[in-house]
Formats: sequence, C-alpha cells, structure tokens
Amino acid sequence: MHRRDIFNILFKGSPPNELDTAESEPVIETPAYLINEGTIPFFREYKSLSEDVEVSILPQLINYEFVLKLGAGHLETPDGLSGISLCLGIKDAGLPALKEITLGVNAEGYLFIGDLQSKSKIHYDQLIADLQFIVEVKPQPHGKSYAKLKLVDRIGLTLAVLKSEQFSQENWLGVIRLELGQFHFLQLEGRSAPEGNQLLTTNISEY
Amino acid sequence: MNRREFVRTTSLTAAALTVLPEKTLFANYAGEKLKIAMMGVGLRGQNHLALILKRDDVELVAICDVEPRMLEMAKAMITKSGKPMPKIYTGDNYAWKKMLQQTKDLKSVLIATPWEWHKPMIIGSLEAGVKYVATEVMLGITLQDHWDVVQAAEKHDAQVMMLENVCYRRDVLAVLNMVRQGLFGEITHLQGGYQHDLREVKFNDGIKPYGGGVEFNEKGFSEAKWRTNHSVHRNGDLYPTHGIGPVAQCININRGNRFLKLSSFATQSRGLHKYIVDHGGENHPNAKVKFRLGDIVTTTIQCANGETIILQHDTNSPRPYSLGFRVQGTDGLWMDVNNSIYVEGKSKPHQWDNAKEWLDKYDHPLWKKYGNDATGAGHGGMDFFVIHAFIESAKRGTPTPLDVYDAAAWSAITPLSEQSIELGNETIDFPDFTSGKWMNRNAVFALNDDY
Repeated sequence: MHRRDIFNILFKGSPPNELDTAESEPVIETPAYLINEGTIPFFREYKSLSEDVEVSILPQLINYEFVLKLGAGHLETPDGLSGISLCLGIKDAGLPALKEITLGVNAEGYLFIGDLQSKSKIHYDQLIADLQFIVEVKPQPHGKSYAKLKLVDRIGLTLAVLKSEQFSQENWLGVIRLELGQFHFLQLEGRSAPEGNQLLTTNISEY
Repeated sequence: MNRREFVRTTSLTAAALTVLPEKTLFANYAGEKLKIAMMGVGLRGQNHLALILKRDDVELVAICDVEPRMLEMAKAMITKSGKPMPKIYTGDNYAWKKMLQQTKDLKSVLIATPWEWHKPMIIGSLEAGVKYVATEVMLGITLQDHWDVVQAAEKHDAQVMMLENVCYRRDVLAVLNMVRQGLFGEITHLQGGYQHDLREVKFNDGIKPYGGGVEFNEKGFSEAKWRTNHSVHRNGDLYPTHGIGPVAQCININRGNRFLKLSSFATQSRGLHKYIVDHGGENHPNAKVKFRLGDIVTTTIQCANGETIILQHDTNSPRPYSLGFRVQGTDGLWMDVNNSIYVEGKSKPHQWDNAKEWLDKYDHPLWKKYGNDATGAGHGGMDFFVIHAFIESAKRGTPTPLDVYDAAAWSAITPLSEQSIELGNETIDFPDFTSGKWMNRNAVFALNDDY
C-alpha cells in the first residue's frame, strides 16, 4: 500500500486538531508586479530615431516587465569604434530627480550599464555590422529592478550579456535620449494597466 | 541490432542490401522516375543507397565520394542490386561540383557527408537548379550557415529536407498520434536528447569503422576521420536533431509555435581522454589532446506557447543508448526510458502503464501501412520512412514534410548552445528562421498514411 493511501485511511473522518496560536499566519501571495491579469500588451515602434527626438518610458510600463529593442549599426568611424550610449530615466520638471541610467557599448567594445561594465570584450568585426541592443527590465521586490542588456548580431546570435541590479524601477521612468551613435529603430514593449489604455491609441506617426 | 553492431559483425562489402526484404518498392512503376544523385556514399550514405536501390520509382544517376574504399562498397551494392551503374565522381573534395555541372535534368540530391560539407553542398545544389535536396542531419556549423541555407532555399524556391529519421520512429509516431488526439491534454514539457556512447565511433584503428584503437582525424576511418574533431574544438549540444525533431512535432514548432530562448550547461570533459588512456595508454599521442566538449551538455529551451524542452547530449561516457524522450501534458505523459505511459482517468492513479499497449493502440497509420516495407531498413525502419517521404514529395512536386525551417531551427541548437556556454551559460534568444511565417503555417508532418 502506498504511503498516500495509508494516510488517507488514518485521517479519514478525523481532521487534525487546529493549533491555537496568537501569531498571525504567514501569507503566501504572488508579488503584484507578477500579476498581469487584466493588463493589456503595449507595443510602440519608433523609426529613424534621431538625437533630437525624445521618447519616454511611461509610468504604466514600469509596473511590469518591459523590453527595449534598439537597432543599431555603423559604429565604425575613421578614428575607430565610436560606441553607442543611450540615456534613460531623464526626468522632467514634474518628477523627482533620480539617477539617470546610461547603457550601451563603449569605444573599447565593452557593454555597460551605469558603472557596470562587461568582462569580455566584443570583437571589433562584430561591432561594425548591424546590431540589436535588447534591454529587459524586470521589477523586483521593494521597488528594485533587474536589468539585462543583450547585444545580438544581425543573424540573431547573442554576442554579449550584462546584468544589473543597481537601479530601482523609478530610475527607468522618463525620457530616453541618444547620447552617442545612431539607431535604425527603437521598440518599446511591455504591459500596461487598463487605465493606460489611451496610450495605445496614439498615432505613432507623430514620432 | 544497431548499425554499429551490424557493420562490425558483417562483411563491409555490400552489407546493407542483405538485410532488406527482397521485395522491390513500386515495382513496375509507370510514372516518371525521380533522378537522384548522391553526395557521400560512406557507411551512412550506403544505408540510404540500399533504400534507393530497392525502389523502382527512382533512378540513381550519379554518386560522388572521395574515399576509394567507400566507393568500392557502394559500387558492389549497386552491381548486386541489378540496377544500372551511375556515373561515379571522385578524385578531390570538389568532385561534387563537377557532378552537379555534368548531370542533366537532375531533380534531387541526397547528401550524406561530414557535417561541415552540408551547407556548401546544399547551396551548391540549389544554385545548380536542383529543387529537392535531402541532407543528413546538421544543416551547418555556424548560425550564419543556417541562415545561408534558409535564404538560399527561399531564393531558389526549393525544398531542403533534413533526414531526421527519429521523427519516424514507431513509438515516436504513436505518441505524436496520441498527442494529436489529446490523450495527454495540453502539452507543457518535453525532453529528448542524444545519449549514445560514441567512444567507439569517435575512435578506431583506422581500419574498422568502430573501435579497436584510439585514432581519429587523418589516422581514423569513417566518422572518426571527421566527427571527433568537433569534440576537440566545440563545446555544446553537437547533435540535437534526434532529440528535438520528434518533440518539436508534438508542439508544432514553426507552425503556430517557435523556440524563443535557450540556455546550455556542460559538464567537465573527461570521457574521451579517459578512453584514450584506457585503450591506448598514457603515452599515446592522442592522450595529449584537449577535448572541449563536455561529457554531458544540458540545454533548456522556452517556446512561444509556453512549453519547456530539456535536451541532453551525452556521447562520451559508457552508457546504453537512449534518446530519453518525455512528452508531458496536463493529462498525462510518456517516458521512453522506463517505457511507460500515464493518462489520468485511464491509468491506475499514481501508477505507470506499460507503454506497449498504448503504443500498439495508437500505432501511426504510416507504420500500419508501410511497416512491412520498413522491415530491415536502417535504424529500426526509420530510415525507410524518411527517404520515402523525401522521394514522394519530390515525385509529386509538393513541399517536403520536414522543411528548411525545421532543419534550421533544430540544427541551430548546436551553435546557439555553444554560444550560451561561451557566455557563461547565458539564456540567449533563438532566431526566427521563418521571419514571422511560423504564426500562420499549418502542421503538415505525418498527417495521414501517405508519406
């Protein structure tokens, strides 16, 4: 007889005594940032992003996991590698000033997020072709965030990865600005609460 | 008896023909015969050659190989079959190009050469106007190779079918039948792999194809001449398609589903060095070789519809053969290692059923129809079905049931797993070789008893 069957017989008709304790019972629940029932997908693409166009990460997005994809290329200049740098989380006057986030690949061929730099150098030949930067940001407990920056080449091979937990979710909120380099496109993908619905009706041609 | 045992215990010359049934398939075939040429007639190629020679709907017009010993074996098989001797191309590594240039109205090519030759031979065939190319498993070496083949197939509007024979294994097809009939509920998790002690494939004495020594590369024979070198220089799942092909069919990969992400881990590399020391001594020159391939490589894949897949590559250690399949859903599962099935509501609670009764009950229509014809064909009959599917597609001018997108997605696991390990076991993205077409493509594989 299986252990399960033995216990079924033993406990039949005799529920275990309930403990009498003043302590509150431990509660197990799914963190709010992982509950996305009722939310709606958010996707927006910006073409031919130039330095004078500003794009924002919106308050609705930072409550859930979101992804930025940036198509880039032509990092080669007559003087060598130019690097690419993107600044995120630039706050306007209505928001409290927080540390901004810079990320990208530097002229030496290393990925970076803020102060953090990847250990392995990306080969020069890989950086002069078309590339895609993918930034995945996942909310963590206590308002923190987990960010992963991936560099993917034109055929879809991941060339390098850098992860960071140095920023809060609030840090990501705000304007995105290109500090160095050129991008072909920028995609922003995530989820938003239903009240953020009107964002989806925005005509992307205005960007 | 597997291929290795078979070849070891039988005279190498004209071996494969002797086990196939005498009956000819499509005898008195009245339609136009399919002209086919073969690149590579080594031991694997000879398995296919035997099947081709048994068919009266195919005309073998040319063969090509650089190994005189293999060519002699192939010629002996052809002579024994009573079929006309095809034109022979040999002499250098590019004799296949000459074959493509000189063979008129060639409709199909079958490639059974070392992995690194598959991509150039496939693309070379397509550029020569061949519309149906069958290639032994592994589409290419690098990720770029896989894209090159996909783009060439699209450019020339041609079919490239990877001969992934395990998709046609009898139990695998029965389980696919069960999956399609909803026995296991919604599929959530799958496992497979290539768990095969290849030490006597990777090393031999330079004379026999399997074992007897610790030689490889120039001093080796057959697969040891080229395959072992991949274990020296690469660390990843070097042979994923036997494991991934069958499970990919269960969840419609490239047809409503796709691989999204992958991560791989490798153990330390011990088995191949130990084998050399145990069988050749510490002072054998090959004992100094550093093998990069971990003894066991484990890869996890996440799919667009939520399923997870675990693949294992295990070829350097002593162990019995097993592909380690597991197909699991919300209502039950199949595991081939313990030969068991469990279906909630039909099996006794918390107890395995012997898989045989289920597999017999859900035997696939293809096996019901062609089981006798497949008897004696390579790898338990699977080779019959994969060749049959290719030839029937080419004869009818229809898409092959396993296409270039399947081939690329399954085979690309190798370079992607290498990259994941190289990056410290990072989870990396899986490219979409269909460029979005996966969302609207329908399943075509083994939907009936045709091919």
